[in-house]
Amino acid sequence: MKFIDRLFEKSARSVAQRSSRRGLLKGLGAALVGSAVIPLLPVARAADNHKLPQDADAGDPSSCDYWRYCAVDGFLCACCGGTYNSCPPGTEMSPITWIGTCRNPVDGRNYVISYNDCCGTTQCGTCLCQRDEGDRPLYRADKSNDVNWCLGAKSSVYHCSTAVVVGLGFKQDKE
Amino acid sequence: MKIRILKQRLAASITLLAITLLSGSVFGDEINYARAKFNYQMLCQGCHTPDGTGGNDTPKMKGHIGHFLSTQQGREYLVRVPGSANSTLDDPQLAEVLNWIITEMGGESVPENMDFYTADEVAEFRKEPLFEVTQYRKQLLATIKQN
Repeated sequence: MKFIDRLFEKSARSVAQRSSRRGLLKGLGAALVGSAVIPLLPVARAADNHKLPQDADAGDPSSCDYWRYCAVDGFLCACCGGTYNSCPPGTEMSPITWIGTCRNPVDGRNYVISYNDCCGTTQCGTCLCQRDEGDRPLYRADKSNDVNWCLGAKSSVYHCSTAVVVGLGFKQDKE
Repeated sequence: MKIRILKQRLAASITLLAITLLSGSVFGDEINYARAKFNYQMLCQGCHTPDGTGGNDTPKMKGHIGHFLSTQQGREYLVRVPGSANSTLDDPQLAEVLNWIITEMGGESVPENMDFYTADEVAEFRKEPLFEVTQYRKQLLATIKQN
């Protein structure tokens, strides 16, 4: 026991000789301020920018002018009982689809949009929207919005179109 | 004493630099992940689905594509299929997206000592695109199973 007493006394005295009360306050203050400043570092903000703007963007999803619809050709699911990224009840989203890019006016970046069709019941008939940016002729079937993409679903009957953001665009270097 | 420490630090720095450069040339330069993912999304995902599961007539790549690398014919097949051979990608970017698909989706099907596709290799294979794929694929898979 004496050994432990001596050890603690020695170490306490050693600390007392080498440090001051002001020094302790200074250290504590620096630690408190430092930990408070960490969340303000630019690293965290840069990471946040990579989030896809699924919910935070401008515009009316039931209007053809909405930025995600830049290459759509069909009835907007947002007017047919669904949303821009989900199908109306009673229809099935085709897993096979065509994919393009649209520029988000809020942040000026291009996003990859998947125009999955909703299938299974007759055409919705409201909010017909045809913008066709990046649309290619049928001989480039993978880049044509004239294809009935319900070919990948159980029923090939087209109902409406969604516009799901699936990723960020990539700017190719011109060589 | 000081000179000895300096020498040790210099040797450590040189080793670290060599490792960094080597890893950069072997791994870093091969796949630009952002570009490869974008190319996959724009040119493949529409049919092969986001995770490579596929569906209906679109073959499954997830957990499966690596099996093709066990034979030379299979290795060539992945480049000769219409989606690869006739794509708008140039040879280096086609090689890149194929390597990305294999590493991202291949899972346990990928051989341990897999050789990454090179642009030259891709250029050679895509000169002969496959016209009929379904039967060719069936026969190829049967051959791979026998090996």
